[in-house]
Amino acid sequence: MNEFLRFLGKLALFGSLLLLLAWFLFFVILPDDYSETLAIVYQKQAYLSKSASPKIILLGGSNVLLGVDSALLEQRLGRPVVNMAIHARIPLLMQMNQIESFLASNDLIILPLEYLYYVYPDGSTVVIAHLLDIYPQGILFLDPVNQKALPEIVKNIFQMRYDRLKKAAAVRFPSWGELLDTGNHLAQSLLSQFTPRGDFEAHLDRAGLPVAPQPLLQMDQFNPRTLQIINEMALRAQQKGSMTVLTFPSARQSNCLATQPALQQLYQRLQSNLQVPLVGTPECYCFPDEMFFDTEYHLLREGRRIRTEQMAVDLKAFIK
Amino acid sequence: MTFTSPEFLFFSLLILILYGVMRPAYRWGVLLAASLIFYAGLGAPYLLVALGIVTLVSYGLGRWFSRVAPEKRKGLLIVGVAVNLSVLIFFRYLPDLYRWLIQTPTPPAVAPVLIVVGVSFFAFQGISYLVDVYLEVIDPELHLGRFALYMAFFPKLLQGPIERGNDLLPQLADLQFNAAAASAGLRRFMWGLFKKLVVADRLAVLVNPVFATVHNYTGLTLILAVYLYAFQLYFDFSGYTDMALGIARLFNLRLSENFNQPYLAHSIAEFWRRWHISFSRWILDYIFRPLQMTWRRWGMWGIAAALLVAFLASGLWHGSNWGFIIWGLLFGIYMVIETLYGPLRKKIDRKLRIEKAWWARLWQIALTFNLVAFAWIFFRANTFPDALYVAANLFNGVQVLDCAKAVVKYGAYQPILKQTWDAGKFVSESQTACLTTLNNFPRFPEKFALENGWVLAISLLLLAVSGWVNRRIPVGRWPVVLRWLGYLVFALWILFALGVLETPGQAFKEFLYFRF
Repeated sequence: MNEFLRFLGKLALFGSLLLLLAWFLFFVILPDDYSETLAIVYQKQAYLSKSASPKIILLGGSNVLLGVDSALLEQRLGRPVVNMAIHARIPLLMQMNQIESFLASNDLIILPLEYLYYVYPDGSTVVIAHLLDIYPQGILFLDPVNQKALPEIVKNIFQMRYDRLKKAAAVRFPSWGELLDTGNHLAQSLLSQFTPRGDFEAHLDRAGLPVAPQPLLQMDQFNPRTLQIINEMALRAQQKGSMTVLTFPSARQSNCLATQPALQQLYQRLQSNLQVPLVGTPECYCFPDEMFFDTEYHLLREGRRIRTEQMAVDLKAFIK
Repeated sequence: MTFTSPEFLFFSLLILILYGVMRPAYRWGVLLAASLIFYAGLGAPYLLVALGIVTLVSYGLGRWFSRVAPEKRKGLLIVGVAVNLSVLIFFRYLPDLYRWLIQTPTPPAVAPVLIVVGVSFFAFQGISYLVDVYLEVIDPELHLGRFALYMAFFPKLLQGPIERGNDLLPQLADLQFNAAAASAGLRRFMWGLFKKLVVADRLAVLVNPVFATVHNYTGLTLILAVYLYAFQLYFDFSGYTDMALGIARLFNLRLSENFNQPYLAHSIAEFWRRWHISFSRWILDYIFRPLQMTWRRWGMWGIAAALLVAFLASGLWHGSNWGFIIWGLLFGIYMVIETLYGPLRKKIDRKLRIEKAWWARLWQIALTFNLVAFAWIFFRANTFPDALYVAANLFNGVQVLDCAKAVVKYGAYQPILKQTWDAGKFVSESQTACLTTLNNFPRFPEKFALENGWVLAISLLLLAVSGWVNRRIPVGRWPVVLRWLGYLVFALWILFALGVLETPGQAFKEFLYFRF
């Protein structure tokens, strides 16, 4: 038995040394990437933790990040608004896990979900890897589906860090102070592009870019799992005394027209199967193409204002 | 769950802990339970039924042999062999037979039977046990649990080695833990992991696209793909074997060696003494020798016939399609020619006094390797027509001749006969003549192309050097600090290699011999 225990001890020591060496090579000596905008997650998390209830939390992807004026919404609804949205390929459940501990009575979760969520509710391992690369504690919020994909996510992180290691090899290593700093991971110049509530604003006054009028959604690709996830999120929020509502993303008129039948079918499906209130209709959030910056979803300043005002009107009924 | 999956590492660690803390008399139970869980984890429960049938029939008949009159034992042996073969045929060949008879794709009801990993190996093991007990080479195993473990032991269950009763059964009677053996086992396991994940899977990135669309390639490209496949197969299969033997050593069990530098063989016969040794021994002992005895009155022709049948059986064991049948027959023909021509060749070598000449031995190694590589075409090609295409187009086009001409002209003719040596011209002319034809050879994905090239080159160098180093100073005898540093660097190398390999799909994460 002693021989066996000694062997196990050596095995454990070897494993620990290996992990330590790998961690040192890829996490300690490697400088952070201050150009990665996903790092705004730290600021959003910090703002969420400081926001008093009852508050409004926005989840979703970049249509929310770029297309909602949280300050205006806050003004209209009289509640603190926190924009937690970052990217449409970050899983819904992961976002829910991230905010759940901050939910309190009468909080309101708003889901203006990109239509992509109705096809890929579990997100993308590449985007998750990007996020976890900058925000390692995000691993605690991984949903069960992506927990199974953890080896692939870790591999993606490794490859990103290896890429940065190659670039950093030509650059003087930063000072120890910067190495040990785990607070701000976003360059100052990029930080100024976000508002304290988490809205991205650097694009608001730029020239719009054309986008092909392709359908936003095809119902044969619809993933019913999205409905299960939204219902689960609503139930978990309800257990904390919070409420969840689903609304629709801002979208270009031309793309909406190309998706007309699918949007109607989607709305009917949501009405029949969802256990959360629907706020507005997809058509309410279709705006002229000239109000958009890029992609089918990202609004310019005027478009963002109009959209936010529309949301405020639609949400008034849900504010107690 | 396979040897290379993260879950398997945790599974093995758990089994090792249970094994270590369990009383020695009950350790067989831990290993047997682990083996059954491992096999069940493949997601094909009928495989456990197949294993159960083979185990119970082989065990029961083995014990029965000693209780019946000698004249009745042969009948029992025939029954036992028939049951084992029936299980093998049912699970391995039924889908192919159905397709062939009905000329339609396998219907959904039969499709699940396509997951047949391990059946070929344990069915053959059951047969070898029964024959050995019948011939009184070994005594029948009386302990059902230990026998079941002999059949199902998880390191060897899926891809062998095919263990003989007198090799493994005595070890199972006394299961101990030995730290030195466990350390050696871990080293072996890591080595196998390296061969499979770092080398074989990397070669697969280059080889698979060629064999997927062979008609897009000719000449040197096909030759290179065939050579690379020869090494891919070796590193994949021998890597698995190293992992299997390494895991077994964790439990202080020695499984049979399955490879012994096969591509350094001087003859086809020697190749089969070095490649998939447990399988070739099985074919030799249970097919070739009995046939040779039966047909001995036909002299050399009897031996030739026995060789052809033995290798045909070998091909059929791998699969029932024409590719494997031709592969087996090809080796049979090689062996027949070697057997018939062998005595004459030795006579000529002795007369010319070149038996021990280094260049003669090098020539034999090169010839043997090329014959084997040629046979691998039929083993690897997706379809038989593809195999024929590859075989017919290896020297197609003038590229090969141009390449050979350039190399000989600027590398040998001019330096030796004209006494002019222009290294730059040699490189540029050879490159133009040889490498331009390889322009469409698959490359590593662009993102980590440089890294993968270096990983492959350094890993092949490491493989070449390691044998030399280990023969002089075995790793186990290095100073402890140097040894541990070596382990850590090696482990990090494997992790790094895994990280920069963009594996397009799961196809070659599996072991190549899983299909058999």
